[in-house]
Amino acid sequence: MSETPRFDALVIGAGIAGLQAAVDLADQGFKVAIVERDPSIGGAMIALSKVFPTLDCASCITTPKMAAVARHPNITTFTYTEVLSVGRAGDRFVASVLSKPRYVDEEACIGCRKCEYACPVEVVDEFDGRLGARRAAYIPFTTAIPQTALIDADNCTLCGACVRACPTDAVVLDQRPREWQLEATAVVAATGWKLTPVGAKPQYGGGEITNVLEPTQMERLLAPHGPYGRVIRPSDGKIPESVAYVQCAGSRDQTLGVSYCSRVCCMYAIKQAMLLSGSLPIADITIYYMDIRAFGKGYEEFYRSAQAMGIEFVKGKVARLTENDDQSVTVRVERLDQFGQVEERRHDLVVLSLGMLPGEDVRQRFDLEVAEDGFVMTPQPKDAPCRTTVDGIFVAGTASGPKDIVDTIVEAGAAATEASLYISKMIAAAETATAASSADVTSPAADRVEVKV
Amino acid sequence: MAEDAAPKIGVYVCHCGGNISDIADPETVARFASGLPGVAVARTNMFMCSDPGQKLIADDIQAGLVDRVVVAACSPKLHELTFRSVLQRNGLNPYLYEHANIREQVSWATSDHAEATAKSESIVAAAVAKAGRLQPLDPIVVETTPCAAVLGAGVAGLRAARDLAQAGIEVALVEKTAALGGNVAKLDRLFPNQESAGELIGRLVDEVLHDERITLYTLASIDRAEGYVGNFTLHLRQKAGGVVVDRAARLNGRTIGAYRPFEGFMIGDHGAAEEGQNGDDERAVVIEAGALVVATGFEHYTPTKGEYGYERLPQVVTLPDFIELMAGVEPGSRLEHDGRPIKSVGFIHCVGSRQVEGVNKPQADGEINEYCSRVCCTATLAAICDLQEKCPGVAVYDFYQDIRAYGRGHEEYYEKASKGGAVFVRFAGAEPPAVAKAPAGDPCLVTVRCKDGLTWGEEVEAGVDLLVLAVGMTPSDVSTLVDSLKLPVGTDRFLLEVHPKLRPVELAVNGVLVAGASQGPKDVTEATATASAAAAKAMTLLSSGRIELDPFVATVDSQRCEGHGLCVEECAYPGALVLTEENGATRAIVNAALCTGCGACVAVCPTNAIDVAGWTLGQYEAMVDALLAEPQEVTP
Amino acid sequence: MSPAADSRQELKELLKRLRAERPTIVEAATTRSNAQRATRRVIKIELAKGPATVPALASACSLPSADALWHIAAMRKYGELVENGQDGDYCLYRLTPNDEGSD
Repeated sequence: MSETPRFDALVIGAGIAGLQAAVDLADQGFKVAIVERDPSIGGAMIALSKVFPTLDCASCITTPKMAAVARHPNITTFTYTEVLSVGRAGDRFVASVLSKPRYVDEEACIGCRKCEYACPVEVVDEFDGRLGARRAAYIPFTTAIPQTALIDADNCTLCGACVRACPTDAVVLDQRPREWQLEATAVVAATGWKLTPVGAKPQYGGGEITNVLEPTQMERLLAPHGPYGRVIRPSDGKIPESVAYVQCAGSRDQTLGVSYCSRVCCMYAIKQAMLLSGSLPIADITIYYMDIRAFGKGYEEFYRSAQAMGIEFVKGKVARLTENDDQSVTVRVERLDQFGQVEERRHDLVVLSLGMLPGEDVRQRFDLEVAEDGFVMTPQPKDAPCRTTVDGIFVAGTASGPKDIVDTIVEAGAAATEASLYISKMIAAAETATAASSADVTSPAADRVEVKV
Repeated sequence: MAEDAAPKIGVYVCHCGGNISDIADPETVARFASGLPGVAVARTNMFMCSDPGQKLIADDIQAGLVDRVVVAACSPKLHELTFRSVLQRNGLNPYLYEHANIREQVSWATSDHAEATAKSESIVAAAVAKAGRLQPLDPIVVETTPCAAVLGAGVAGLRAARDLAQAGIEVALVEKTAALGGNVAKLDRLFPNQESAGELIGRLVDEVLHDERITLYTLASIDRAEGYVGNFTLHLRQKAGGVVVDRAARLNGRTIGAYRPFEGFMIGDHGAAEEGQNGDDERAVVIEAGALVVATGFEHYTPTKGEYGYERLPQVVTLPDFIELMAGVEPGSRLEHDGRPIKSVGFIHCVGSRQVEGVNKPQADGEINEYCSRVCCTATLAAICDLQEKCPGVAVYDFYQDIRAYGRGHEEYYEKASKGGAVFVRFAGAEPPAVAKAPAGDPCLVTVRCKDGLTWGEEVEAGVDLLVLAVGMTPSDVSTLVDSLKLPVGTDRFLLEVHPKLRPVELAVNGVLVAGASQGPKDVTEATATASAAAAKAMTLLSSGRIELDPFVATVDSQRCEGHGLCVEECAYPGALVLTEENGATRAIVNAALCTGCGACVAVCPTNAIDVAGWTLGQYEAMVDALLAEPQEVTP
Repeated sequence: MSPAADSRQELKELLKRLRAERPTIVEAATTRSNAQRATRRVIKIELAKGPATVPALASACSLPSADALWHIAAMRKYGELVENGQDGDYCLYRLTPNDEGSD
């Protein structure tokens, strides 16, 4: 490797927050590196079906932003690459990154999927919520960027079919991981979230009941390229007659160590319920909730249309879920609207409205402080919500706490502004330092420029 | 069109991931399109806007198969620009593109599969007919004024002004009152970190006042606004006593002020800024700006007379009133209001928010406030915690619908208030609590009665000495700006962004950005985040000094124009169309930057001398002919 | 040797070398893959008899119904079968014509 590549900004994570921050910075003329650990950019949003409150398809919003990043002259995208550490070196940051082997030459691959069709190995597809299948040689999903195949070495039998099928000799089975470094003046951490674990609560079946789903699995069932092409029960393919949502299944619960509200679960449950009543017109849909938190713009109106569509909202605390012989699920609920009276109801399918956990432990890798909730600490939450405890590292999206897509995208724009001003300040400071003799800085703004090294 | 060979039109029909294909059949539409005159290829894709979808089009252009493109997909609002740039990147003029909307206009509007497919075919046929008559166009390039105007100096406006100035952009910051800080100045401590509102505002004001790129106008309101992206003109009226803090004022005076709790940061207070101070007269100020950031904020909802006893019973106050009252209470001291000791306080949520048709009185425009005001739940809980801390003996009753303590650190207030002994009563929006004066002899002053949703709808009654109404947010009156720039407003009366996810801080009028609660209820964190996001957009807009506008403007055929001037009379955009003398003859000419391409002039021209580029009469006729053509028999 | 044969030989040697590098992973993957392909063959034989629902297929092949559904999902994704109407609350699946009887 010759010289260490230098950028104005390093954006960590290519979910919707990272994509937006990268585009906003690049549009201002800054050189941006965006590093994504998954084989495609797009993050969690690209796997969603439709999004509240407009019911636009998630792809319709995400894929154009992905495409804009991919072809922006000021953005360099590194996928399947992990940031190992970020450290300060003088007036900039140095990131050590690890590019994992795809076993496919990115330059040579034309995305024809011939290797995928040739591959005889089928395994569980994480992208499809572990409900569908993919091959060991694969392109992660139809709208992935880059449209470059990769080979899952843990499941590869080394049969060589992909090598023989590839029309451009792009398969490189002896590729190795590569650790390298890049430099950037500012960093935007857009490291996202992960779901609270589905098995956390033994009284909800501990993750062992087949027809108790994660909300992201239901997103895949509702999505156009979903694993089954329609909504059916994963246990046996039955078209469900009744579907229930258990709200706050992973949030507002001290016993799980997640005392906060995850902000999105009420709305995604309502949205999924509305989509379900479209795809399963005769099914009964029930949402068991403590408080409906429809607080965003147009959300209360959305909630009301769900009520008008006949979705049943039951104020109650779900105490237990049990699997029946016919693989339906019995929900035992304490009705908070009826003195806590206990009621039991059967549903074909139950979705746990799980909450959000930080996607990444930023303490070890980036030396950022986190708050009690585990998310990146923002010491100036009211007037500078994207600042972190390290000057020059900014945070965008769910890395600093649960957030919906609208709030995430807005915050990514704010993080881009912070990073942009910081980079300009550093560039100006460097110029001032080199031209120190002729400096005549009297403006009050320049007086307050602080350069921390 | 004589010089052109026959057009080679590519038609690309999008499934939109089921949004379209669940109702209309893209494959049938594509087959139909392939039989239309001039169509060279017709293809389909699950997501035409995705990279693989765009590549289909790019490959056809590169292969020379196609020189005009029709995409049948969602609304052009979403992705017309996406597809135009595909043409541009592949060496075609971007205006040789026509967008057919078969989602909003077809699949979302009908459920009949056969009809939807047939209607999609008609719309595609019309688009193809127009595409065959498209001409290459060049965007209109205009110079931009290297200055941004920020309207409103609440926290959002202050933050936006500071960001823009630090990016090197000249900023005019316009505030209608005498104070900076907006509604946040009417608070004491802010959730979730209990930071003092005064300190927060002081920090922002300090940066704004010391940045010489910012010119501040106080007591200034907007009379009129005009112009277009890159070149807006704002006509302000500054009241007597209004201050201008500009470079000159900064040099001459010590332009400081002071923060007054519950009023805001008063500029030019203590006679320190006489240099910039306006005299006794109102005066007019004109500001030129390349971009506008509207940060005009909100007003607290004012309950109608008698709503929950407001203005009928002296013991009924709003949450901002209560916060101000509590700010003056020393810990451990006795709580008093109106000269009486307070032993119990009731709080009612959702006052002016989450209203129900037929239950709540409509607003002036006849609409109810259906929306949630987002901050009142946590603000109320924070006020309860403050009360419990300072006056531990006081009983608290909280009447709510749903507790929406959604944000970071919000839930903690709920827990604390519950642990502190607050009694929560849940009401339904359709049956709000009834408030009455307590009967004589009753120990309390006010009674609140309501069906409790937590106890099977049991009727509960609480006597309280003070009743606090958690009033929601309503947008500030920005009607002059809205009317003169034709800004879009939602059914909730707040400013309406282009799209909540694609362009969340931009209004449909190019160059006008929105920040803070003028767009909808927001807390301080969210307001400053939108302000910085809006600043990012303005920075991009103004960075190059020039801007490209769509060329869809009126063009006058000077051979045909006879100078009747009807078009000038009809034109609603001052300066867009004028009559001039040309070689002794009167002719209409168009100022392309001011013309919006509305077409009103086209309709009134007696000699058919005017057309709108990209939307010519010839193109319309071709579209109408295609729409009215007999449906063709398509063999599968 | 022709260039093609040359590269065939090269590939053979590469695969051999890589197998030696991580024998346990490759062996485990091969075992899993063989089992999965065996199940797939049984499912295809059953479906060749005519359209079936997931529970019917599962009982005919002595498989847990969730596993049968996973195979259906995999085959659907790679174009080996399609939906073919419904039987009560369950969808029927049939092999796509060119796949019938193959393998």
